[in-house]
Amino acid sequence: MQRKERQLVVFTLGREEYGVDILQVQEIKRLTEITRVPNAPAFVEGVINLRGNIIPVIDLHKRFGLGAFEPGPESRIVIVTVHDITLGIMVDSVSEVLTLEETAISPPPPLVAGIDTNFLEGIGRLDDRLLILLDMDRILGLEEVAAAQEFQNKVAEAGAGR
Amino acid sequence: MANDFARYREVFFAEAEEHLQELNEGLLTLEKDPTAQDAINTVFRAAHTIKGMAATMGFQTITALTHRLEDVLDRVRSGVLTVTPELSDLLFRAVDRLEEVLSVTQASDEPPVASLEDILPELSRWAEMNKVPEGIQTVEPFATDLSAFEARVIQEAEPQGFSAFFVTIYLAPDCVMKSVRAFLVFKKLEGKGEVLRAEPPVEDLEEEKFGDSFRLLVLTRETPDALEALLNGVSDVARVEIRPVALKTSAEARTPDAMPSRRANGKEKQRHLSTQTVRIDIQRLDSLMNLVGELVITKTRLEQLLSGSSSEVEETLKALTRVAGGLQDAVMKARMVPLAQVFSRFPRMVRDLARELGRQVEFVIEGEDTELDRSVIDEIGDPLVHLLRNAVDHGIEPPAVRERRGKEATGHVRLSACYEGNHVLIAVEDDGEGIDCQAVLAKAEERGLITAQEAKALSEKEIYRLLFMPGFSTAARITDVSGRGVGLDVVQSKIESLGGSIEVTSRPGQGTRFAIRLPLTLAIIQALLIKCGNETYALPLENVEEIQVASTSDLKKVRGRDVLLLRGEVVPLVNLGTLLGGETAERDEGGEIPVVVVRGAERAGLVVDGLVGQREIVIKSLGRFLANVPGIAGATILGDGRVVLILDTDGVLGLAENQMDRRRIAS
Repeated sequence: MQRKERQLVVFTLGREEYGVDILQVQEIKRLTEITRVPNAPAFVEGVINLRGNIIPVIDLHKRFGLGAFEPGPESRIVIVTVHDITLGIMVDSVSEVLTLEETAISPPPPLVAGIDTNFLEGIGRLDDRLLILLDMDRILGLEEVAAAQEFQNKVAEAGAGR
Repeated sequence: MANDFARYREVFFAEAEEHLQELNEGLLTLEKDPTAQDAINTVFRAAHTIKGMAATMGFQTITALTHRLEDVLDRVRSGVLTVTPELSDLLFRAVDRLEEVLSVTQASDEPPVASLEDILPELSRWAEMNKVPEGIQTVEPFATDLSAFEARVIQEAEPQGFSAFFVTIYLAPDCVMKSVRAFLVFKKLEGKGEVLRAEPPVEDLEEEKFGDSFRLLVLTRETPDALEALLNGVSDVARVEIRPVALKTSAEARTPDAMPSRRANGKEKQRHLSTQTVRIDIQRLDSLMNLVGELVITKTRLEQLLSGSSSEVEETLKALTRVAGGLQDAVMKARMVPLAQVFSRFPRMVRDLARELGRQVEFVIEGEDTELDRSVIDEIGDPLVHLLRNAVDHGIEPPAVRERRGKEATGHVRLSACYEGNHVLIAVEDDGEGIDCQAVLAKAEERGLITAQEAKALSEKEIYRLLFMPGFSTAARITDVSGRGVGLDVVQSKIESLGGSIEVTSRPGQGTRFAIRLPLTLAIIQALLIKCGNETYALPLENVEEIQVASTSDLKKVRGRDVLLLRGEVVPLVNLGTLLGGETAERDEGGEIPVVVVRGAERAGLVVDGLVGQREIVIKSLGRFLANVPGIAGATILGDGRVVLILDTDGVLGLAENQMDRRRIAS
């Protein structure tokens, strides 16, 4: 499904600007009380109450190794849905929604601001700005989740009956 | 339009599954009692209904198969064929194929009719067998007895010039819209007399659930010839047969022969019921349940906000509480489904299994009308399949062995369910071999699960628990039945994930009993809220045994582990704050320490920083992304909107165990 244009929600983490596809974004929320989940992956900040649903919130600063997240007046939680999983991403600020030509997106260079480029889908250019497009699947480790699930199933299958 | 079709498709498969179940049940009954008329009618109707629905949906293969099946069943129904073991096997095979075709069709596309070559010709062969040449109807499928009521009506009407006739109407074999013809026949008769009885009953005639003929008991002043002429006027009526009813002596007429009318009554009731049920997508019920959960939460919040207000506000709040409670109960009940839905597929499975393994098994089901939450019903099937397979495969001995042991050659397997307080108890029992503790121990040692030293110290109960350990199998040989795929450990973890528990008791040589205890519903539970540092957690109240306030001097160390001496018993302690990695409050020397004694698989005391109180909470899942966080069973939302995690008692104790091990290795 190749589109000519893409609409992106642009937010900042530290000094960089990032974009996620608007189709993945459900809403943008102010910071709210987050309940820590013990023994969850380190980049999972906790869970929040989104109108009665429990939604995990992840800290991209931790995921990307960008140092600690400092909550400020501009801090937001961007609620995204990827593969039927809804979760929140803590960002430093949300700046705008913009439209990018597909041709303005290039594959990720080997090193961007110290972030593992595996997490990136590409780099978007708009005038003199650079937008980092995130690959949510990889960031959430959904591949890892799937792999772990598969492994568990195999173990279960291998286990003998009584 | 396409959407509509998808919806009909869904309904079709849901209904087809029900009718399949009827087919299976009916055939099982017929296998035991080939003359069971009810069962014959049930299976015939089921096959017929699937055929009709499949034809409407344009599923040709399913239509073809059910059509042949119906043909054979029709011969059975009319008494031309009897259900011999051979025929019974064929019918079961046909139903199996039907199930396969249905599931393939549901998953993707319908397989071609040609794929049924293994079964269709055979069905046809049976359908043609003993076929009565057309035109000569030798079988009288209808009863000639009169019910007491009918006899009385006829008797009273006779002096007024009425006479009664059995009128059998044969429709042309190629007649379409048979129900319309039947309706016309009734219409014609209307002015001329009264129809006392219709066979099959009028509802079936309306729904076209009859073959080429039906019979009426008519009370009329007309002569038989006039009647015949009248009815022959209806198009597509091939032949009318009129027989006068010979009224028996009054004594005989009074003999209670209410069978036909009672059957008709039963039918009416069934029909009545079926129009009063609504098929509903389980997701809608789930979202309804969620909304009710929200309502309960909001209500709790309102109560907090408005506490101490005027008595009018309090009255209103009380009313709201009542309504919310009633709504919650109602939604909960709507989610309850009888276990029969799961149980009904087992007789067939046990039968096939027993045959395959050469066992003689009498399978009894009890309490199948016990109801459980839909979400539990969906999950409980597989564990039960496993236990039943175990019972037949490992429990029941071969007939020869049983006889040698002085037992009946036929083994018994019993599946039962009943309510037990807030729980449902499901038991799988057999009167087979029982569990050989020595064999279990030997196996566990061999597998390295325990040492010989440990083996000596184990109680019977602890030995049985070994069965549920991952990687355990006592089956000396690997059969096709069990001893592959999932083990009892998977059964246990499934049941625990449903909030239940499983227990086994056994007597060597006399049998084994697996007892599963499940909560009636999963959605709303009573919980104890506790404080750990500045964090709040919820503990399911059913795991809480008691709450103790211990002073630091009550705490002892046994082999480097904190324990609490509780009425002379040693209870291991788990510091919840440390375990969950949050901040813990400073503890004064000699101060009071709240300890919550919990019981999961083990008994332990959780050291907490404070107790908040008991609450009714709505369980919410953390979602797929955080599905496997150890020690956490889910989350709930408090009245003030805060999210609080629900602890999974066994998970927490497991975490503590791991931590102890790690520390032991480290030191």
